[in-house]
Amino acid sequence: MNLSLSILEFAVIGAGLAILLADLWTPVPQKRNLGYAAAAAVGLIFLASMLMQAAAPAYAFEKMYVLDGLALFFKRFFLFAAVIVLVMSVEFADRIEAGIAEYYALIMFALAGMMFAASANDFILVFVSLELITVTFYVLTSFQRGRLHSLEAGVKYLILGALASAFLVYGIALVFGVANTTNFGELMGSARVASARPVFLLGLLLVLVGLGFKIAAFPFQIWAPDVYQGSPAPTTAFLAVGSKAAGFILLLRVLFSAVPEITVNWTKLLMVIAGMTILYGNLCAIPQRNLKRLLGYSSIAHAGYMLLGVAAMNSAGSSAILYYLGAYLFTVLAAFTVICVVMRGVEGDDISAVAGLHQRSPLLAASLSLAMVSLAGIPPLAGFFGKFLLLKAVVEKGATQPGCYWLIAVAILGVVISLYYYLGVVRAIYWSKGSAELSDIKVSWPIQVSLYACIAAMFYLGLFPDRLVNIAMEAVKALKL
Amino acid sequence: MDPVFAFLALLTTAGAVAAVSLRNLVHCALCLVVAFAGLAALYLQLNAQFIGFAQILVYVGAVAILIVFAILLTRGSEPGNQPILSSSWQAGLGVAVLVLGALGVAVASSFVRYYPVSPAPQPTVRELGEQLMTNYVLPLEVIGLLLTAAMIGAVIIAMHEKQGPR
Amino acid sequence: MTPLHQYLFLSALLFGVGLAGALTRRNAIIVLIGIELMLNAANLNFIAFWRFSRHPELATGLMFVLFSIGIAAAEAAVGLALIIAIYRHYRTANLDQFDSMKG
Repeated sequence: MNLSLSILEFAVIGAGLAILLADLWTPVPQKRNLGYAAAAAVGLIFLASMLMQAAAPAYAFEKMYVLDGLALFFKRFFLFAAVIVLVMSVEFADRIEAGIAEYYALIMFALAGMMFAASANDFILVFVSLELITVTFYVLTSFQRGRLHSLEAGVKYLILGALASAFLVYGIALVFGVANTTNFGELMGSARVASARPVFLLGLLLVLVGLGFKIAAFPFQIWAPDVYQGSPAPTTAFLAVGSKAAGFILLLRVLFSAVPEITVNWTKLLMVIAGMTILYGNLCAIPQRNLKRLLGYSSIAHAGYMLLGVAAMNSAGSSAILYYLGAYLFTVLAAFTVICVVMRGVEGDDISAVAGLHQRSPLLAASLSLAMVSLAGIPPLAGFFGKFLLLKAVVEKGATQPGCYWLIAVAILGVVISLYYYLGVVRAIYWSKGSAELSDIKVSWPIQVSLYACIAAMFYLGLFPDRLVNIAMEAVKALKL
Repeated sequence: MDPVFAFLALLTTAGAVAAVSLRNLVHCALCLVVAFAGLAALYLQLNAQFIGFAQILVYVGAVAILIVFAILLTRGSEPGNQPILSSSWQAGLGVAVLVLGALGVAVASSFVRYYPVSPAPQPTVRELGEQLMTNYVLPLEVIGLLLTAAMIGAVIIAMHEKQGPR
Repeated sequence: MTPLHQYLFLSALLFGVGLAGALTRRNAIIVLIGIELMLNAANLNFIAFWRFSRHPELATGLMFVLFSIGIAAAEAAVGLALIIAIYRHYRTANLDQFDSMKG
């Protein structure tokens, strides 16, 4: 057993518990600043993760836990996301009635769950880490318990999330019953024999239902708009980035590391789901006036684009997903940081609240506009290159599967539709009139730092994509593609 | 069919059906206890004694009691003469029947007449504990963290606002 | 001795009953009861598969059930706390009346 492999997770858990303890001795006015301590701690762990190497996969805990390039990529991803989300939560602290220190600690516990999920090589660890993420998020969504929207979001997420977990557990039970193992390595050996039993396939299908819920893929996306709208902004940001990425890493592991022989027969199914998800997300986003709800639908659409990479079933597709997630991370975090700052005291998060934002704070206006442009996939920002890589992977697949060209048409149609609503937000920022509020917005320096970092990363990834593409190509070698 | 199994299966199913279909919520919770207890007896029959007792302790002792408390605290939500089914219940029932059908067909075509190949195992609590602390120590720790998070969360959510910041 | 498929049919039936309850009832508490039944159905599967497997000395099935029981309890605690909190606002636990967000 090699405990040192999971040192990052234990450091995060330890830091989270330390925040909970420190809360006891911190005077009430200082409590919000614990968030900076938490962000600093997670930031240090992020830097430490940069020193780790994973040339060959290393296993721990009876092969339940694997540390390979893919796991390390996602751990860094989650750690970075958590730093920005924690900084954002400090900004949000005065809108939470009680227990801000617990809010920080729960974010760190969810982070630990995501990092365990990145290393899961066994259905037991998949289940417990996913549940750690989900149960923590039930609480994080409903944390503003004085606000009706927040509680309602919590109840909806809880009911549908628990339903999805029930499907996941039942699916795992059926898979275990046939293969008599829950370990991905052993499953790969027995998958060919087991696939003769319909129960095994049905079990895998139920597992996919559970994971499809996490990434908000059609038809398991119904929770996303309400939950995105009702939750506190930092929770929504972490949900959009962290929870979705955790769903994707597990999807990649289950499909391409546990049962690759069976997955190849599912191309059509995955293609249909990807296409429907793209269309649903983009079409429903058009009439939205609430910025967080709009981003909820847009996150469904982006899950659809990333599913293109899964449906392509080649290493180009999977590495494109990793690149896309990297671009999506900076873009979405920039957008939600701005929302978190601007929507102070604004009920309803309506788009009109950002009207004239460029007069109130040029930095916030620029960040939100760039985020929208990147989400829409306009060059030279990061989002463009991500979509380009995904489509390229599908085109490669198209040689053997003519249906792929339809899928590409659907994806491009989705991008065109999305231009309308993303640019609508940009228009509201710079060209709309009639904003009542025109006072300057003070932006604290940690928020400025995280916004500049996100903007720089959006440009860097868009203009010099090679480095991240190479890292992603290296990382997906862990999968059996 | 084994008469003991038949009796327990009937009891569990009847309890489950009643728990989700009765109008009076307290009756639902009590029927749920019957279903949980029936399952615990089935676990004992399958030689999983420890799990059977854990089922009684956690589900009957904690979860069902928690549900009764929640029902009593939300007393005004008793349906009265209102419908107890949601407006789209036909679709929901359709999905449930479809899933049940798929499961039934899959089981019927995969596992017919399987009998145990090995003599009844008797895992002692000591063996289970040793496994938990060795092979399965990682999920155990994750569960510990999960329970901590859930406990903090449940307190924060259910706390009365009037008490103000601690 | 009862053959395996009878346990599996019983478990599938419980799963179906739970799912039907969760999808058709309005009251959030009954929906949670339905979901608990579905989780229990999965547990029954695990125990049955463990008992009938060729290597019952490997306790994977039992362990999974232990973890699943713990998680179900945590989920129920958070869920019921949420339902009580939202009841204070709406004076109802009916899911279809929680509709303040539209669009």
